[in-house]
Amino acid sequence: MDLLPGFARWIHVWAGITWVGLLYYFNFVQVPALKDATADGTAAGISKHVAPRALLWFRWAAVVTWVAGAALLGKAFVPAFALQAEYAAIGLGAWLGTIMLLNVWVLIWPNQKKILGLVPADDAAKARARRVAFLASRTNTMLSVPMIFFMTNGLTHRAIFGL
Amino acid sequence: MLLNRLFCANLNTLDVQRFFTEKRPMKNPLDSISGTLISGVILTLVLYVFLKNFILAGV
Repeated sequence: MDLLPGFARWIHVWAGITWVGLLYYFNFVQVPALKDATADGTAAGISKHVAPRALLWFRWAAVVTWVAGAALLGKAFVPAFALQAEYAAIGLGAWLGTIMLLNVWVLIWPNQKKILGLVPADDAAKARARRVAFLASRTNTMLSVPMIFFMTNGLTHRAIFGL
Repeated sequence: MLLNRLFCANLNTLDVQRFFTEKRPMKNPLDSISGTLISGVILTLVLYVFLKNFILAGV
């Protein structure tokens, strides 16, 4: 099955661009824009029409990226996550991606549901959710920097790691 | 301000005590985009050194 790694790589990169692209959109565009929009009373449009759609693509792109990445690793899945010699660099990238995926589903999405009013929450709970979701999103932006470094170099440019 | 007082001639025990106990707000680097990206680059370097010198040492 030589076709499988080719398809898995294609889908992994495709979904990864969607996931990390939306992550950067949230951090570099939407959060600063919401601050200004709240000041002039136009934030409701972003919260009601833009954020839920962006979050839908964001969280499912994260899942597809991870599953396609796991398929791409194939038999190297366990050696990569065990950080065994030649798979250590890509394994580190895989660990960072996995932490980011968990951040999306365990911290960002449940708190965004409170912020957007999809689940009931009082003002104090919303304020707390806003801070947790913000920090989890910023943590993912920070983790994306080494994740992309180890993902792009882990298997194809191993000389960087002395392999 | 406190640092100036700490290094000035009229230093007393109270100033020193206050310097080490006074609560100053600590900034979170993740609150700014530049802080987040710089943290990411630093983390990349730390993980690279860790990988090369500990995980891949002797390979």
